[in-house]
Amino acid sequence: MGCPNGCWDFSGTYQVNRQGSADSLGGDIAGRVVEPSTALDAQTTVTVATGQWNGFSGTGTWQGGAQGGVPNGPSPTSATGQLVWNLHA
Amino acid sequence: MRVRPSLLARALSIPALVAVVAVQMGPPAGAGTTYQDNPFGSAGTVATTGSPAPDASYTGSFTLGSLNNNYGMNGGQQNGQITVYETSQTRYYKSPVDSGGNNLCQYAPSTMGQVVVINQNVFVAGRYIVTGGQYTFYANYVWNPPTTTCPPPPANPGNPKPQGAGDIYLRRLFAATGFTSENGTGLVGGALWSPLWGFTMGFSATAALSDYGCSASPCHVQEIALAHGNHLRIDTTEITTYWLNGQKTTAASPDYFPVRNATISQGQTAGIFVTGRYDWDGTDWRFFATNVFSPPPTPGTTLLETVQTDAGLAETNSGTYDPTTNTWAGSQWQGQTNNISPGLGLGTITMTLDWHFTWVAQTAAGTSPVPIR
Repeated sequence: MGCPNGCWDFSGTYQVNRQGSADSLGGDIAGRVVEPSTALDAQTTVTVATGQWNGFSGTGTWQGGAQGGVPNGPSPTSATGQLVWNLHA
Repeated sequence: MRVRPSLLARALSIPALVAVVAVQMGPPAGAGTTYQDNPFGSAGTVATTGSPAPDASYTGSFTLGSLNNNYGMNGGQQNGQITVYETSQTRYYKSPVDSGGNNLCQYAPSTMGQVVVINQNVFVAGRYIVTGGQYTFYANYVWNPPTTTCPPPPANPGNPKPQGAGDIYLRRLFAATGFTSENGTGLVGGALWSPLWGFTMGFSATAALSDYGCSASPCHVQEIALAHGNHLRIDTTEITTYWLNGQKTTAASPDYFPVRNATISQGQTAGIFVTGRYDWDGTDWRFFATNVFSPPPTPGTTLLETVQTDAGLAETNSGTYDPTTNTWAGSQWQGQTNNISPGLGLGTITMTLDWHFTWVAQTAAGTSPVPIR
């Protein structure tokens, strides 16, 4: 995604745990939030998978929106969207 | 303290490793004012092995005759031969030959016994000291057959340039499979080298254990690797997790460093899978490992499952603002996942994120990144 009016670029790590089970996915995440549309687009890797996905690896996406960011000011404070992972073994 | 770059680059196909060769040798006890310490290289035929070593710190020795392709040497030969001493830091590389005895130039780490063989030709790169007119040669590297019989390596393609401020302040993802080519890496610019900072990862066009981890073309990680002789320098930190034969070890473990070293070392033969993030440090791309696996997980070519979920997250801690880089570092996020089938179901999600605002200005010549600070 281009960002003619500026973008919030981000990177880090994530961890998802299924409630009441040992199932989890975790890894690295990096993406971009476009201003002023607040559209969010990110890629993920799966480096740690447990429970029913134990030993799996993969990649994924996170698409949605992030709100609360002020260009050249505070970074976004909330986000919603859909996470999709393609798991391999 | 460097061996001639062209020879190492030819042998290892990794120019960045030129700075690696510093096997530190202090002057011997009693060195006088005539002390000299210089790099050298020479091809020749192994005449004998097992010459008496100066002391117990040396692991072996051999005499080299029929010397050719010498550099850095200004004496020290006796009857056309030199005696070369080996240490625990001497590294050995062996390449197969074809049925006609021609060097296939596919060097792999090897052992002293397989490389230093009487009547076989080798190339030695190392150092020599001169004290009181007495020459003592030490081997840093020994290649069998000599690297001088290999064609010059093709020139590396250009290193990709950063595309904006995001490449400087934040990091892209990578997940690559290859093998450990050196148990160490350099700091910025490769000027310093240490096994404590990371390792060097190599790829091979013919090995099954080579995957740059890209689904898009061109592959950015592959472009960077090819610009560095098909190698990547991997930095490790205290957050790097190691998976040795499937067993997880983190910095909280008392055996963290032994497992770390064993994982990286095993990657020479069993292969290594590294995930993490990378960025542009101002002079080159730097890769930071978050997970290191040896052996690599079973090649993930079979799509087993697609998992999806909706998620809503909120920032619980904004992290630390660095006005120098205009980056919010270490912000904490928490949220919930919703039940989508086939999916993750109800659950929790947490993230630790770094943020940087990038403004891309429209100019008459096109688009150029102009980060606002």
